[in-house]
Amino acid sequence: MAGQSGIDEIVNLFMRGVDFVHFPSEIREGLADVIRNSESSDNIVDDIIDWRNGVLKQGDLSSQAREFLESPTTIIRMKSIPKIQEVALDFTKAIESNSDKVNINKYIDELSNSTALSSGDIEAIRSSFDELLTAREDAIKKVMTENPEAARQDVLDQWAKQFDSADSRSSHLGARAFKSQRVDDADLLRRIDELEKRGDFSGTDKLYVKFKKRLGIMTAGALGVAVADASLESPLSEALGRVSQKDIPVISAVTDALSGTLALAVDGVSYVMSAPAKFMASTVIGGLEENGKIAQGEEGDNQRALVMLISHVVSGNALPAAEIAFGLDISAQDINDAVARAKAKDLSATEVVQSVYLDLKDNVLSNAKENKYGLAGGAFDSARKSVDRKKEELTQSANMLLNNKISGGGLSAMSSGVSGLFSNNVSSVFNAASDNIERLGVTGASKIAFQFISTVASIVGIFSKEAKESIQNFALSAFGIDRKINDLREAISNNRVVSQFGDKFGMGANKPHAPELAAEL
Amino acid sequence: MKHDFSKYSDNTMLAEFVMDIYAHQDTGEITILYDMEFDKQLLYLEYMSKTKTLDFIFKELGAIPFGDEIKSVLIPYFEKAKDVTLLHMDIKTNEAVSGMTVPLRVNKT
Repeated sequence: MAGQSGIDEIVNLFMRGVDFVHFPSEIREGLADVIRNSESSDNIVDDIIDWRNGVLKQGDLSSQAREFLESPTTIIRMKSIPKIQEVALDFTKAIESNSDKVNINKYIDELSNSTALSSGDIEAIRSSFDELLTAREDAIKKVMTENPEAARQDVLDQWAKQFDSADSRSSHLGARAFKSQRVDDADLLRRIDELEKRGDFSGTDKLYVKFKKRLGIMTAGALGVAVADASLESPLSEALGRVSQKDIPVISAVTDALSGTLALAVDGVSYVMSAPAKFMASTVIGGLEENGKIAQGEEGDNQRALVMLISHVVSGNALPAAEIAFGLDISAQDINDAVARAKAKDLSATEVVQSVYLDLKDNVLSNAKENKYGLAGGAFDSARKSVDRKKEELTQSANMLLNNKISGGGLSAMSSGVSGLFSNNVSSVFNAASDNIERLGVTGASKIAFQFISTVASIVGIFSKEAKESIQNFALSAFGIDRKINDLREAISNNRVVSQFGDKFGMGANKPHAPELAAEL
Repeated sequence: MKHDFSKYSDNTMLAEFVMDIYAHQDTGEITILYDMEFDKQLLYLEYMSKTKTLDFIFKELGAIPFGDEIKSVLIPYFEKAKDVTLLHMDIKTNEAVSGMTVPLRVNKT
C-alpha cells in the first residue's frame, strides 16, 4: 500500500534520528511554512511532531495528517530532510562565521541537485535562507549602532567561542598544528575593525583577543603532545565548556579531588587542570617566536615542547608533563635532577625555573641532534605512543614530578616569588590585562584568568637572564607597539592627533624632535 | 621643544620624565610617550574630571600627579577612554623601547 509505505518511510527516517524538530528554528519554521502553504491542513505539522514525540499514536493521527503523510510530495520532502538539514546547518555555520561572503546560490544549488524537491519548495527554502541571512546582518548592524558595549562584548564572546572550537578541533592535529593552526574569523575581524575605528574597542580588548588567539594557536600543539589522543576530543570539549561556566572554587575542588594518579582516569579534567600551563606556554612561545628566539625546524619544535613541559611542571600538572617528557626522551628523573640541581643553588622560584629550563634545553637540543628527529617526527610519535604505555609507568613518572613541584606552593607562590625579577613594565602589563579580563568577566572565571596572567608573568621571568630586552620586546610584541607607533605617526601626518605639548617627541617629523634634549642625555 | 624639569613641582611625573600625551581624533585612543623606563609598577591612570588632572597610580608609590593640567583639547578623550597606552621611547632613535596598556579610571566626583 502506497500510504502505508509512505508512513514507513517517515518512520524509518525518524528512527534514523532524522528529526526536523531539531532543525535550527528558522529553518524549521521555513519548512513548516512550505508544508502549510501547500497543504490545506492547519495542524498537520503539529500532529506529526506530536506523533514523533509519542504524544499521538500512529493510529490516532487525523485522516488529514495520514493523507498528508502518505502523499508523494510529503514523502519526497521527508526523504529530503537529511539533505536539507545538512545544507541548512552548513549555511547556518557559514553565516555565523562570515555572513558577508555567503553565497546562498551555492547552498540552494546543492539542494536542487541532490533532492527531488519541487521548485516551489526550493524557492521557499531560499526565502527562509534569505531571511536568516538578513536577520543576522540586521542584528549585527543594530547592535553595532545602538549598543556598542553589547557589540564589543559579543565580539569578545565570539572570540572565546572560536577559541573553544579551535581548541577541541585541534586536539587531534598534533605537532603539525604548531605551525598551521590558527583561530581566524573574517566576520569577527571586520566587526573588530569597525568597533576600533569608532573607538568602541579598547587596547585591552585587543590584548584579550590576542591572548585568546595565541592560546588557540598554542593549544593545538599542546593538546597534540600532552593529550595525544583523538578520542578525547569530545570530553575535552565538554571540559572546556564546563570551565568556561564555572568559577575557581569549583576548579580548585576538582583539582584537589583529582590530584595525582586519579587524574589519569579523568582525562578531561586533567586537561582543565593544565589550561593555565598551556596559556603560560602559549604566551611565552608567542613572544619568543615574534622575537626570533625560537629556532627553525625540529630544534624549534623541541624548544616549544620544552616550554610546555616546564609550564606543566611549574603548574603541578604532572601527567601532561610526564607525557611531554616521554615525547622528548627526557626522563622524569632528568627533570627531578635538574630541579634538584637548581634548588641546590639556593635560587628563587623564578631562577629555579630558569635554571631547569636552561638545563633541559641543552638536553633536549642535544638529544634531538643525536637522534636526528624532532617533535614533528619521532618525538611526537613517541608522545603519542606514550599514552599506550603501561599506566603504571606513566603514573610512576607523574608521581615523581608531582613530588617535585618547583615552587612547592603552586601558581600563586610562583607568581609572588618572581615579582621582583622581571621588568616592572611587564608586571603592570599583566596586571592591567588581568584587571581588564576580570572587569569583562569574559570567561565567567575571572579568578582563573587572573591566575593565568600571574602565571604567565612568572614564566616570562625564566628568560630574564638571557637578556633584559627580550622581556621588553615580549611586552612590545604583545601589544603591537610597532603598529601603535606607526598608527600614531600616520595619524599625526594626517593632522588627526591632538597632544598636550604639541608633539614633544617629534612623532610627526618621524625623527628625534628635541636634539638638544637628546644631547643632554 | 625642550623639557624644563624645573618648571614642574616635585613628586610629579613631569618633574622626572619627558612626557607627552597624544589623542587620536578618529579612534579616541590615548597614547602617552615617555623617555625613561619606570622603575616602579604602574597599575593604572586616574583622570579627575573636576580638576582636569591626571594621576599615575603605582603599586609601590600610590598616586603620582602628572604635573600639568590636561589641555582642553584632550579632555573629551579622557572622559571616554577606558585605557591608555604608554610607550617608552628612546629619544635618540625615536623608537619605542617597550610599552603597556593600563586601565584609565575617570573620577567625576
